[in-house]
Amino acid sequence: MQIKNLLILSVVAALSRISVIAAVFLYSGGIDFPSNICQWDCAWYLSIVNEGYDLHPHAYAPGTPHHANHEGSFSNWAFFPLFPVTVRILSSILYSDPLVTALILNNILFIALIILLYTYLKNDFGEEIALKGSAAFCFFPFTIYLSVPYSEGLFLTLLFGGLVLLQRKRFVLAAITGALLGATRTTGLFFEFIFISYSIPFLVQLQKEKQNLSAPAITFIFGVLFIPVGLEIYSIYLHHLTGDALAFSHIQRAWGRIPGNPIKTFINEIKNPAVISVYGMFSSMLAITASVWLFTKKHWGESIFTLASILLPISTGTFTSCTRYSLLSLSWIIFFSYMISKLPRSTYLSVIISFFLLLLIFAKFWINDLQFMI
Amino acid sequence: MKEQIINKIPLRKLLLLPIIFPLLFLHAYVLHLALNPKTELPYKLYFIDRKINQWNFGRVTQYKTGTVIDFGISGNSEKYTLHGFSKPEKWGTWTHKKSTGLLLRLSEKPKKNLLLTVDAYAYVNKKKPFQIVDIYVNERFLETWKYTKSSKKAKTVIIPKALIVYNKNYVYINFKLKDLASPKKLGLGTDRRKLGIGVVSIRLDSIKSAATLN
Repeated sequence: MQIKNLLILSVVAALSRISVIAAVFLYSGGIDFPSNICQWDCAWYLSIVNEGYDLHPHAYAPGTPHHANHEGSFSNWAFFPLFPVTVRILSSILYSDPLVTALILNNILFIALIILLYTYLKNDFGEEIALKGSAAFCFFPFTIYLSVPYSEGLFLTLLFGGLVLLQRKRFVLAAITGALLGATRTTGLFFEFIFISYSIPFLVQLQKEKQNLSAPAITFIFGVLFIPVGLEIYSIYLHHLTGDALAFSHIQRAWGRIPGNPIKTFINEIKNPAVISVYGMFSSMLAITASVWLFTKKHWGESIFTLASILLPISTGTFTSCTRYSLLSLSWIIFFSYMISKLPRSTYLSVIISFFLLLLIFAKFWINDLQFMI
Repeated sequence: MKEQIINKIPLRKLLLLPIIFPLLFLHAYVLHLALNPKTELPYKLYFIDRKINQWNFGRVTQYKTGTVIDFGISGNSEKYTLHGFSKPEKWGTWTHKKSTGLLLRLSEKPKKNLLLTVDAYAYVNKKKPFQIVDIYVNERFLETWKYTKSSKKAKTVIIPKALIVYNKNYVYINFKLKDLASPKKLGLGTDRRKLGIGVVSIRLDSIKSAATLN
């Protein structure tokens, strides 16, 4: 039964990705496909793949970072290394173009992500929710970001991989996955919350059963200490490159992001609403709601992970990109999968068809370089 | 499952325990690096301390020792000032923040210590008889100046050569003032700015050829 479900999901996931790529290809008329699939942050990732990390901040020109111009304030340091490094290694092994490699990697990872999502949901919510929920997620419009050369695909795959490992009490492997998450995006560090939320109940349970706690306790300490390693290696690298171990954070100023109070961001937005920011704020509220729901389901690690991941970018004073962060956040994916699987069959199918059409429209939005897709 | 875990105890202890201490060392090392950046001064001021509002990397104005930085309306001070200065007036420029700074880059590596000469008045009156100003250069405290009504206009302080050379010839001069008050608050006028010192000019000289502006 499980193998059959996994096969069905793999096919559904693959078909959804083929549809997205085909849509971008057709909208582009074929010829401009590479430049059309590579929008916004994709250029930054490719700059890391092709030329490595910048030595100085430089002027920003979307799609064409200028490394020679020292008068600007932008740099690719904001983009964490695991995704571009993986693309670079694969591209060298396969002798393929980095953009094509990144596309292939992300779309294969998407299938892996759906299988891991199914496995995670099945363990916690049962077979039916897992199957219907993860199949529906394949057509969720915001999964467009999981097909294009962004780091979200790798991040979510590692995240659900880590969760499944924790469900199976494989704490050492989960900690290693956590370290990889930290090397993929800043918010990977928050995997600590999830790790602790799974480890402590396990230790308590062992104690109740009067079992020897020394080895699990060592594993727990190792895990907590090991998860930041990915981010720390990147910090050490940045220190040697730029002199600033926190350059990935400090460079955010170039994008107008300055650390502050997230509540102020909400208040400022309510005082001076702008359409794109309201869109970001509304999406953030959805993710926060999903996190609260998940907390009530006693998945507090996942819930706190999401809240921290959402509040971190909001605390920089802007809702830019918050729709992407929120609607591809852990809590939202679980909430979405759970809720949609509870719909009656006919409604479920019509929602999936609507989402599929919207996904194709999002592919058009993507190639049109629309501001709200950033 | 639990049996498996128990069986793994010796192996886990053997493998994981020795890794824990290097991990602690790694965290301490990264924390040390994070707290002690080794960047150039303009980068630090803009990205880390956020004291500059515009990133002008590569455009920090070059300065030749002995040149007078004139803070008057027709002067050249705006090429150097970073934060805390009001708009230049005919006679000079008021500072109106607790921290006031200017940044310049020496056109050549200093061979000797430098003498910083600041020609300035302070906003002092009966209700506020003195003004205390701490002088920092490249974030190192050098001296405290006390301004009263009878203070000499020009005050000087020696800047050690090493402080400039270490920072690749960048010179960030920072005045830190306490207890600022606006003329309006003191009931002495309508100006709402919290006035500190009124700078007329600033000059850096090689210590041998130093001369006060007076």
